[in-house]
Parts: sequence; structure tokens; C-alpha cells
Amino acid sequence: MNNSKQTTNKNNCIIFGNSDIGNFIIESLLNSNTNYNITFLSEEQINTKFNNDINILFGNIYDPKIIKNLDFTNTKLTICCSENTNLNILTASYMKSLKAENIFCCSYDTQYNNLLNSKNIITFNPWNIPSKLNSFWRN
Amino acid sequence: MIGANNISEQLIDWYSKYNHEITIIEKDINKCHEFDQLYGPISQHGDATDLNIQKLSGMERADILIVTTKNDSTNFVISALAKSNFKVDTILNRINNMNYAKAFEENGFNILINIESNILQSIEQETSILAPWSIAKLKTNPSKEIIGIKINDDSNIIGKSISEIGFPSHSQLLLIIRSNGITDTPAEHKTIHANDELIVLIQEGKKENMIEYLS
Repeated sequence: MNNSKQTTNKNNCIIFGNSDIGNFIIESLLNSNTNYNITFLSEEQINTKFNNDINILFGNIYDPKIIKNLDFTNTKLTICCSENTNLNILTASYMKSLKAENIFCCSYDTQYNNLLNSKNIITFNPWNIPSKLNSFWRN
Repeated sequence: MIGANNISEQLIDWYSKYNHEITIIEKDINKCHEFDQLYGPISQHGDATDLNIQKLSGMERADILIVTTKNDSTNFVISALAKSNFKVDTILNRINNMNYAKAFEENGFNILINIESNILQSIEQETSILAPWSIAKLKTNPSKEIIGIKINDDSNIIGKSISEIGFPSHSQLLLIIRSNGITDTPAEHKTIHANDELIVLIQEGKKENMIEYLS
């Protein structure tokens, strides 16, 4: 995470994967009253309209060089929201194994909604954002 | 088993000998037909990440699920579906990227097969002198593993009997494989020769101690 943008408060958010729902969440967090420090992680090089407002990392989540830049102890919210449901599920579990908290996992298929059976991971469908996730920007 | 491929073909041959019921879930209908012709009605056409396909395959009767696709996230989802919906006891996963191992293990998918690790292990076994190779990890408390060690020409223990060597307390010599391939059961009076392979039970993480001890 770029130190120049880090805050001492636990306001870091990590967003994994590029998608419409991911862009919506980033926009909502940036427009909220809380000064979130957002790190966006993508496996592919992409351009986003948030280039100047967020930290962007390109690479694989399991790459030690990437992990070194993810400050999980100061992270309030972690969201796996690429367009690939299976990858989101594995990445959410992987993030949990790295001690991330408040993990939200986007699934485009309702049959996976209770799959992970973990208190630390909430699976949601992009057409039905849970209130617990909404609460991060509706305050 | 997920996927009709060379691995599943070998496994079908093996399990069939013991009269186990086997089902292959395969996306490619042509491969399904091919396997059905070879082995009888054995395949379930469809995507194993779909709960209905798992149900149709008879997953609720499965004692063992073997997941060997080349995609870790696909393997993970298939395993999680089978575990949470059908309580499958034993799930073996091919894992392509070992960085994900902890995520698999924390979800109860403890049996992970990594092809690269297996190749490295074989290379170590075939080429190394005094570099122990892992044979099996045992689910004991504390964790133990069985390793193999080849005795180098200049090892200090050559010519000594097992009682003289006195293996460390955290270890137990299980078998000696002599350089001519003959197996020898360890006994106090038996002597270690150059190029013997020792099969030893050790506490996990004590490999390096064992190398020092036998060098």
C-alpha cells in the first residue's frame, strides 16, 4: 500500500478484481463521509476513472510482493469482486487465511451464497448488496 | 472424480479392482461417451461447480472426491460444494499454486497434491545423497513424517551397528534398503553400509537434525 496515502486509522479497504459492482463500491466508498484509503488489486492492467483517488496494484493476490503491500492489520473492509465467482470465493478464503477481516465475496450465482460457512466472509450477489456492506458508505 | 483424463483413467483401473463404485463428472460430452464405452456407464455429463450436477452424480454416496482440474478456484468451489451439501468425508485436491494451500486447508481440504512438488521430490530422491526426501506426512500429535535418506560414502555412521549409532529420541529407523535393493528390517546388531537408504520416522521439521546426525 502506498504509504503516502495511508492513514493511522483503520480505514483501509482492499478491493480485489475489476467489475461493474467493484466500480460501484469504490465510487460509493469515495463518496462517503469516511476518508477511506482504498487499495484496488487487479490481475490485469486496466484503466479506472479512480486512478487519482485510490492505490492500484496489478498482479496476483498470492504474489508475496503484492501481499507485502497489503496492510491487513489496518484494513477495515476487504471485498472480492472480480467477474469470476470461483476466483472471488478462493480469494476470499485466501484473504481470510491472511487474517483479513470483514471480507465480502461477490457471487454471480446464488447456489454459492452459503458455501464458505464462515463468520468472517459474507457472500453477496451483485444485485442484492447486503446492508452490512452498504453501511460502510451509508453513514 | 472430476474430469475424464489420464489421471482418472488410471484411477478407474485401480479402484475397479477393488469393486468401488466410481463416477466421473465431465464437461465434454464426447469424453463422457468415450469413458462410458470403455468402462460402462460411469460418467455424469456437466459442470461439477453446479450443485445439481453433483446431486445427479450421486455425490451424497461418495466417500472420496478426487478433484484434479488445472484451475485452483474451480477445484476449491467443487470441493466446498461437495463438503457443505453432501458432507463428503475425504476430498483430494490437485493444487496448482501452493500459495493457496492455507486457504484449502482452513476449509478442511487437507489432502493436497501438487505436481511440481511431486516432481521435485522424485528428483531429490533420484539425485541427492544425504538429502532426505519426504515419503509421507502422518496426522499424529505431534506431527510426524516418514523420510528416506541415502547414506553418503563418507558418512560417519558407515560400518557402525544400529545400537552404536543410537538414533535421536525423536526418530525411529523403520527400514534399511541395501544398495542392491534388498530390504532389511532394523535390529540393534545390523550395520549401515555406504549407499544404504534408511527409511526413518521423525518428528516433522527435524529433517535437518537427522542429516547432521547421519553425515
